[in-house]
Amino acid sequence: MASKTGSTPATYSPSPATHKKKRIPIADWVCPDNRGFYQCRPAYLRTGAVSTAAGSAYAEFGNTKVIVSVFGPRESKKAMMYSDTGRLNCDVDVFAVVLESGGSDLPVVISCASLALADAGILLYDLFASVSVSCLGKDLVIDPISEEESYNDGSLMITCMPSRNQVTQLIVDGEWSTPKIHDAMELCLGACSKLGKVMRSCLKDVVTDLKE
Amino acid sequence: MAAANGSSELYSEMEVDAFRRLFPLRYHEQHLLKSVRTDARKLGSARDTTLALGAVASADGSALAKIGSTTMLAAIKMEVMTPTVECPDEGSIAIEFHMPPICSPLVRPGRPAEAASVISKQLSDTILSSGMIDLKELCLVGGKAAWMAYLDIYCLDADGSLFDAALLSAVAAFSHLNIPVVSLNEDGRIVLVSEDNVQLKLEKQPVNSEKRKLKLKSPPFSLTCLLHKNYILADPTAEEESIMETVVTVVLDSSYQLVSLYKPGGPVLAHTSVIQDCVALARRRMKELHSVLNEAISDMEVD
Repeated sequence: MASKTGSTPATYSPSPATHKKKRIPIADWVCPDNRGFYQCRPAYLRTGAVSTAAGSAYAEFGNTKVIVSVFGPRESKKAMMYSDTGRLNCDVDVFAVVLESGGSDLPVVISCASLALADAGILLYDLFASVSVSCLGKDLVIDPISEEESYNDGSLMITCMPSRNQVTQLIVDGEWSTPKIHDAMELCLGACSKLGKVMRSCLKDVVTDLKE
Repeated sequence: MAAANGSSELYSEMEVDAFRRLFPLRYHEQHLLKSVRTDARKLGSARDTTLALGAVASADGSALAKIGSTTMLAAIKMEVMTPTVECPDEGSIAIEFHMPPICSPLVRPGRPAEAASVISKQLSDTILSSGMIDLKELCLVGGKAAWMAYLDIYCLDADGSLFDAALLSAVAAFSHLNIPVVSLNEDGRIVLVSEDNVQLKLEKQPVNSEKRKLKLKSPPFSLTCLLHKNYILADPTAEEESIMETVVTVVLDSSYQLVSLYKPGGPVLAHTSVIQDCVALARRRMKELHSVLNEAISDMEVD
């Protein structure tokens, strides 16, 4: 999270050569936090993290910590042209800050944004959950940490709407064979539906707390 | 203006809300007449303050401070620099304050908030002039290598009293800071000592293999007050700051010395008695903040 201003002297980090990508034999790879390859990290989700925003959410998946806030609907600066029928243009702004990057950041940001939009009361077709998978040699590791991501041969990220069973986004990069992609997609979709249930219960808890 | 009708509660609640939006000053003044504020606080009391140290595991020192809803995250990263010729045995601190768009609807992406650079400079001046950190402690090899501590403070929720929360989080992050153990390798570069390689330690470094902590003498704590007619409101919220413009910030260190006094204009003049009252409120607040900080530090040590 450090930023370097132009006026300060040049500095370097004392950490040893950060990218000696030592190829440890993948067959011996053990997830540092003792997870199985097909196990996602435990998720902590909470809405209402930012009081000044219309809606907000905080997500913590292992060491990846993300805050998203939603402002809106608010006035849009776009249409300035004359019109003889009334027109109301609105924008919804979604801002995200990654507080700590522990791997698999974008999927966490997306899931957190979904909660924040729901918290803001924006009408949605459905919640959306996102999960990524890394290909390490012959193995697929779901919800990789940054170390696993740096050693991967390829990665695949899916965002889907669990109740509607529709995929809204798919990003694939690196080396993949077709059967591998099928396996990875199925893994992700399974994880997404579980994550969707966790998100739903998070939103329901807020309402039950309010009622009490 | 009273919702004196006997109609449903929802209707009268909406009237209060509407009154609050349309005539905010009168709404607040009606509360001040009864010596209370809109969130039921007394005029001189601050909001609940919490501190959590070590919020960011990847940083060398970090802290999350919350005053009411205002949330600040401070993180310190240590890097190595060549010290200047004038001060060959001193390190340096670079402080920057960011207001990302998530913190407030008034901040737009691409246009940094005005408050951000003002508070950044204020923080820099306050921390360096308070003498909390002896820059000589940041020296590694005299004349050749010293630590540069990059302190970044991110505002996550901007609900008034930004400077107070930022200063608190900065002080807490420095008290949590663990200086990594390093040594000088053959090329003249400083490298981290990791567990699996044994290297010569620098002669100047203490011979313990533990990570070092900075000695903080007299950390500074601040209180921002709003002046409005004859009232002094301590620890304003964003709503109060937007309608009453005169602000006074008093910074005291733990031995009750005045570190800085900041009054950036405003329609209300600050007479001596007003300043004295602000300082008295700041003294009380300093005690509260000091105990919050000590509690957070001892909680960390227990873990």
